[in-house]
Amino acid sequence: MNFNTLEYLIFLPVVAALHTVLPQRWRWAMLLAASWLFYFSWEPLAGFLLVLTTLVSWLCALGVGKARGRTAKRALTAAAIVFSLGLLAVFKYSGLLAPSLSLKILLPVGISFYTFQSLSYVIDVYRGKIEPERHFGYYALFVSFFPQLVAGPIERPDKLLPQLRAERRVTKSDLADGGALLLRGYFKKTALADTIAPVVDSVFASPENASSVSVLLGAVLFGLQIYCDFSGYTDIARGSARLLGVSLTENFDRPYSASSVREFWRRWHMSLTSWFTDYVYIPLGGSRRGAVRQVINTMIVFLLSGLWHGAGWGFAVWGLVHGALISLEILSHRRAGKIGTFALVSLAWIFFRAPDLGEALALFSRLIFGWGSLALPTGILGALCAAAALFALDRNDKPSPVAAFAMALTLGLSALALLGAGGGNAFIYFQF
Amino acid sequence: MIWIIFAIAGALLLFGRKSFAFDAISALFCVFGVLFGLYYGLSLSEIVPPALLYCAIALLRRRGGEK
Repeated sequence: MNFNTLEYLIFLPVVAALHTVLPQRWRWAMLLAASWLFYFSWEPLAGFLLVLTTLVSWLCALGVGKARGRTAKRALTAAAIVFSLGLLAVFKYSGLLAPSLSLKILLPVGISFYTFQSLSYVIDVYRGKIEPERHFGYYALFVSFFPQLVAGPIERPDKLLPQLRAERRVTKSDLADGGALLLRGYFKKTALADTIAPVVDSVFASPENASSVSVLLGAVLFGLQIYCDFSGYTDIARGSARLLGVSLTENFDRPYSASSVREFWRRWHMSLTSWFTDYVYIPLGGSRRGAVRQVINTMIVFLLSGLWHGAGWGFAVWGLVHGALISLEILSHRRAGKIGTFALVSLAWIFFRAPDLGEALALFSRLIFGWGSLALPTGILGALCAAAALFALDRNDKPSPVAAFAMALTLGLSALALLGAGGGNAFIYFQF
Repeated sequence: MIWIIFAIAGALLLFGRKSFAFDAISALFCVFGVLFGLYYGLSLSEIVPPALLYCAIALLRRRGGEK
């Protein structure tokens, strides 16, 4: 079930109430059942893949913990990695790797997220950072904890597992902070992202007719849309978890305040950036083997990051563009500044949002040669108002009562408007 | 016209005294703006943009008050 549905708005308080009344020894079972129900409601086959990934990674980690020799530990860790990434390759990348195969396989929602989360567990056990979790229920809950299952944040086992095991008391502060995060998240998604979406859709739907101004606005507004959408989802995830007494990792820290592309990635999707840093960039050597090797490592990481987002060459190019920009910063020791970084990141979003690489290039062509018309996309005023509200929201961690009232009222209006139009848009990151 | 009503609501927040009374009057203007829009047949999608701008003012105004 999606976060922005009536089913979830009923599901969450019921689960939170059960969590409060149940004794600690049964909470894991209730939360696991609720998480699997949440996930199985998307697609039952996808649910079996989740359970299979959970079982295999748990068994491999137990084996790594018991194995005496380094070879055995490495073999079991490699088996878990190959199995998990193999499933990811089949379900996500088969079309890209073998286009001639006419496999119409449904992409299991959240597979990229729970795959990385289970891999971090096995690798941390191998590295000796944590002991393997012997209780299958707690480990399964770690992998499939419903607030962060389908679109992160990608949690580390040493942070989330202890919280799931601990005797938790949900305090008034948890409820207040959780409620505030939920309001913030739903406001960002329903009032902001879904207001901007039609404008962006109209630009990217027909690139050959777009003016330069439209392409520019479309790129900038998509950057804001995906930020509202994804950070809104994260706020809802964190707020939901908070109602259960669990603190999830922050995933965003005002990314459009960054003064370099490198800093942007320390503020955007932070859990993914730290995952790639700890499990790919540093094992490759990081910055310890000279500038050239650092550039190569950076390009590899961002190519993989781009492909992690989607099985398409547009995503790969998007990743490579970011890798190239960071590499330039490394070699030149210069930063683009806040406005420059915002402009570069916005233009790179064209590769991310366009349906394919060809259309992305068509949009860039219109950006350069389409200055003959100053036609603006329909709905631009609403989108700009949404941008203003986002700017203000980002600078205010604790809205006043009147601001909270205004947000709730506007959220209600937006939700009703979307209901009338046939429902809201799915969260963008649910497709990764 | 609806933009004027929301502008008045926003102005009360920006230039009015930072008190519960002014906040409440501003919120009432906000609600009035919504009802006005619905009464005169505006769609919800047309009411959302001025409401969003009001949200922006309300959020920024709090930050200004903290300085």
